[in-house]
Amino acid sequence: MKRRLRTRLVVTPPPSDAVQDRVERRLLQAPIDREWAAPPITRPAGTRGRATFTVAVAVACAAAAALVLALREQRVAQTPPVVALLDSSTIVTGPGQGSRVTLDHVIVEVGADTRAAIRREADGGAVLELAAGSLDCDVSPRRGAAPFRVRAGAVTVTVLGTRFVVWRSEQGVRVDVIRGSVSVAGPATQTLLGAGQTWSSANEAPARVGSECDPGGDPAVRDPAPSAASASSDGSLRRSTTPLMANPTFARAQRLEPSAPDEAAGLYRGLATGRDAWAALALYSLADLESRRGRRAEALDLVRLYERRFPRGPNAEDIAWLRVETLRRAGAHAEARAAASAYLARHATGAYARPARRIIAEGAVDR
Amino acid sequence: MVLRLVEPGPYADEAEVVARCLRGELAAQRHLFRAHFRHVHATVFRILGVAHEAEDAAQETFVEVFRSLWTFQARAKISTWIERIAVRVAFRHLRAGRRSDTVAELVYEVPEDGPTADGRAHAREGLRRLYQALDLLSPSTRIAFVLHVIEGRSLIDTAQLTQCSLVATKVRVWRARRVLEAHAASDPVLADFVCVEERKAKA
Repeated sequence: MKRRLRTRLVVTPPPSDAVQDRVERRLLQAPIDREWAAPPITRPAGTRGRATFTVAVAVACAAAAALVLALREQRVAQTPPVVALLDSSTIVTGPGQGSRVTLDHVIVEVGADTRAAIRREADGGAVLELAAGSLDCDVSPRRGAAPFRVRAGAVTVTVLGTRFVVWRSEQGVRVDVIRGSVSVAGPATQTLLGAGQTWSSANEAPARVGSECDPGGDPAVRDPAPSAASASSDGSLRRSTTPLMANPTFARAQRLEPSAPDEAAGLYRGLATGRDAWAALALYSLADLESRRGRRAEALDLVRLYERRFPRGPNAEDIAWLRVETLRRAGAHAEARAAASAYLARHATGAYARPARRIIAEGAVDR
Repeated sequence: MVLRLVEPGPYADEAEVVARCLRGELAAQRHLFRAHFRHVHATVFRILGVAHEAEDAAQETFVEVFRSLWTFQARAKISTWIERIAVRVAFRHLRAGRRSDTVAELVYEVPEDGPTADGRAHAREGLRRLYQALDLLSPSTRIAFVLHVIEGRSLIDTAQLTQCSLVATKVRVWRARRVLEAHAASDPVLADFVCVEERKAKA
């Protein structure tokens, strides 16, 4: 008697009514508890024809408004009317509630009892203004896209492709970086934080969404004067007492990546000659850029250079994964599997552990 | 079984629903969502195999649907267009490795018409092992297999949904079958679920 695979396999999904209700509420319906509904959305002049619908949607569903706004920003040139209606919005969650929104390719987990507003800066970047609560942001590498920021009073966190959490409470603001790097800026100072680092401030009271949550912040709030992170001689990050100022060269290089990659690479190269955390980030960005441009050999050289200079730098995990990706793009599958194994040996629970295991498993199947 | 009514709405056809959605009418958007959600959810669940990921993927699918609705061309049926987006979203989930490692989160439903509770538990375990085996496949191979063998779609439909050639689809399904058969050979629980015994024809 021989066994063969069935022609059809039956997999019955669980009942989806509750799921449907949940998703519909997130996307389209009004929140049940009106207490947490957002205030009406104000729109720019010249679009009064849609005012009734805009206000209705904003009052009805703040989280859905944030989602729709996110969609609009990705199709500025040919915006469908359904998303063109909303130019700014607020996110409000109640005690014990949470929400998940996407904005500019950023997945934002909104914690319970959180109030935040979305603004658009002059440079096209989105800003989430946190009045109270927590925002867990998982940001794909910006790669020349408009910057993404979270502002909590006088503190601004600018994202460089990472995952981080910003908390704001009566005790102050705290930033936890889970992966990659972020730049935390007060009114006069700026700090670069790497993976695993935490920054906190005090003396900030929760503000009301839509009033005190303006980009300028409360002038009474004192500068938290964060300490900077810099690279030590052994490649690990340590805190220094000197604030790290904003780095316009890095920002310019990021902007130039899609239009003038050679120029961007030159700027990254210049920055990478330093010894601070910007140098580590520039070196990673350069390796990533070269890999995406098809310059695999150069990218692999840069990966090796990064690992030699910053073995425990803020992007150590990302650079290990970049090696895998670069080798795969080059068609060197056996080497990619070996690199994936090396990645797993160092980062067994890392952000790329799952695809790394899959790459290794695919190799086993192919053999 | 629970039946849910889809609000009929004063719409003449799909094109009108789409047009009204694009004008920002919430009722039309809700109509579109309710008409297609269950199907989308079932499809992404069968591909991903994990309930909470299916919920995320279904939500992402409709986010993408409403975002891209202006690109929809009436040449195709909107259900096909939405299914294609759902498959793409599920593919992204698989490829991005956003999947949970926690086996305890797996939630499967086995039809209640089985003979005994033991039989149902056995089938549920077989289903769990099936998805463990599917985890070893590449996303494209897995999706082709699920759409053809589990969803019961034709190879042509599967090829259209995955936007690849018929030959490539056949190869992917064959490759997935080969992997599953190899696993079933050493796993009797999986074999009970995915295999049938084939009697040799009498001469």
